[in-house]
Amino acid sequence: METKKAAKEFKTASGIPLKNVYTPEDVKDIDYSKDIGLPGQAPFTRGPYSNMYRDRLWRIRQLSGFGSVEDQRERIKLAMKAGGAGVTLLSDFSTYCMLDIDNPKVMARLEDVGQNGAPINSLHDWETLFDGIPLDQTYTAVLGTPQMTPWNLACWLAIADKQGVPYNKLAGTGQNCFNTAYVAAPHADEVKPSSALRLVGDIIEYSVAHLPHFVPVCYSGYNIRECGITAWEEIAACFANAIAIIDEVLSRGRLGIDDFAEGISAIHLAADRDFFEEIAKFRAARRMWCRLLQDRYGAKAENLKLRMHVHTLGSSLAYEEPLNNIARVSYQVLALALGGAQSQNASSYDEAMSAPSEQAALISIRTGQIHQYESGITSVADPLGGSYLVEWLTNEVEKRAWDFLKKIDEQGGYIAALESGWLHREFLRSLLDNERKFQSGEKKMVGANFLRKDDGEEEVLPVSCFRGNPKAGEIALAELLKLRQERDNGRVKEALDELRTVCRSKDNVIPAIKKAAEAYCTIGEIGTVWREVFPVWNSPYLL
Amino acid sequence: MAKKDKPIKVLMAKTGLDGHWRGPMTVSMALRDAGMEVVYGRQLTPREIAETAIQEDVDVIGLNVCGRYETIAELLRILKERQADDKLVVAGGTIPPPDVKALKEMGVAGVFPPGSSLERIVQFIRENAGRSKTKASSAK
Repeated sequence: METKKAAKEFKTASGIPLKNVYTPEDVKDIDYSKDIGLPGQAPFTRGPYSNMYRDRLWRIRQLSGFGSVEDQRERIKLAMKAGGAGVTLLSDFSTYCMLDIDNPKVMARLEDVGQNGAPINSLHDWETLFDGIPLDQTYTAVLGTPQMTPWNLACWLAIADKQGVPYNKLAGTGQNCFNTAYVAAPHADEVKPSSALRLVGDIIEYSVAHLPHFVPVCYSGYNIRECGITAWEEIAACFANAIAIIDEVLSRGRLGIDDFAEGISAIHLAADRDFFEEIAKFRAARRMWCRLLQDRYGAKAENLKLRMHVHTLGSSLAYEEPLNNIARVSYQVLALALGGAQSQNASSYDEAMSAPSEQAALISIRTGQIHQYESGITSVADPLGGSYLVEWLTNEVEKRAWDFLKKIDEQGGYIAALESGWLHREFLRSLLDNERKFQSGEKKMVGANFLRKDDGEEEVLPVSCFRGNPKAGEIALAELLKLRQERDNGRVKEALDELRTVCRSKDNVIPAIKKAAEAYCTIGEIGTVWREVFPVWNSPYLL
Repeated sequence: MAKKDKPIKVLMAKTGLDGHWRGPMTVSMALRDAGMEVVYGRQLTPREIAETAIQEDVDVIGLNVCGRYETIAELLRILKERQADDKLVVAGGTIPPPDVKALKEMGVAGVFPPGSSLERIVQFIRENAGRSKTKASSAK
């Protein structure tokens, strides 16, 4: 039995020192109408909508990406049958790298294809993927890096055309996150961040003109949070990314901030282990976003509701005694609900081992549904509002986030901080600090580095491990070769030539890339154009 | 023990095309703190890993695994072919429990799934680097 020793200092997971109790004294400087307000009103601390979950529950979204396109489609259908109403697309690594299956780098690892997501490499693959899935009833997160999203968008629109769905009926989110693409999960030879800004700008302008229910940008704090950074670094890095994007669009002189602010007010955050810190972070993020755009750009407050997709942090889950992760994920889902998120992605208990098995994925969905329908927390908006601790902590997280944002500004802004490697170095510091705390046992993981069942001996419960389709690479390769034979290669060449020309001009790339998609160009061919036309970059921590 | 008076030299490489670097980075830092020399291999094919390991004359190959193991089998095969299979091969990453055993049978000396203690990894490498290996049983 562990003797309970009073720790000398109590802190949040990110390192904010905590007192033993909070009182009105700690929140006396808060002005309710200015700093907290009502849900659905600036600064949106209490939530983006006045009725919050009374009107609409948060969406339950599961990642689905592995195997062949057919496998991915079947998992999407399974999730939708269980009540999930959205699709979050993950693609194979070769797809992110914008390489065709027969590229030597991919061929050398053909058996790896399909581990992270299906290789969705041409419009033909998209057609297979969405066969039997009506786009106008499916909220689609067309996840992609800044360099890849124009392509994803083009394919998605081409499917909409085929299904006869008008663009004003399409609902979805892009991602276009620089933090993910260039810091958290980079790959070799990416389009340089400063050039990728152009692509994001084009998507935003296109979206404003044609896609009223598409949210082109969703900053992702989740992936960098997995690197072990603090709650405030997570949101500050997202907002720094936002500033770079906003400045790019404004510099074109065609749109005012209010024309596109709403479409870029979406964020994807983690729900980590510290219950109250995460709730404070969600509230602080909404308030900070509103203030940032009002103060820096004079944006109209009503356009500044920050909508959140929250993903429970995978790295907070243990390899040992995996069923314990169900308990961990459950309270993380509770945190995101009490924090006012609009959609959840609950990690599966087998997170540390593999892609989710069907059983594990179902439990993740059910966890969300149990909180939605059984816990009672959905009746009242921002139920923790007014808590001395929560309001104090919301202030504290926000303050530290502003400080970090200022540091990024001092580096010459987000893109400069990225391209110089400064951001990577800052994050590495946090990563190592976090890691040391786990290694030393200061940060405890029950059953893993603390209170292990047997000293040193692992007794792992049998769980049904997900096994991806081992033939995914072969299938994709065969499809690719068939596609190249069957398509009109003259049309392909024309489309790629036109795309190249458009890239070198200042015109919007979306129409040209859509033409290329419809001609059945492949992602590798688009990637080749990008790598020819734009400067290429490698992240300092590419490993 | 490694070669006399020289620090243990480790090549850290990824077999996959994915961009996850937290694991390799954390382990690399721990190895460096422990006085070992670390060479970053980045994302390499099995043949590239083998050739780099030989060129750099490393004692240990540390692999970040994300996906299948055919690339690892391929690497081990090439190392054997090039008579470089005295190099210690260790692997880490999201490896389900049943696969830990399978990898060891393949010839991976140490397998370190998520949560593995850095101290244990360092110790394992210290104790096993430089030893000539008896060939693993299953060479299918």
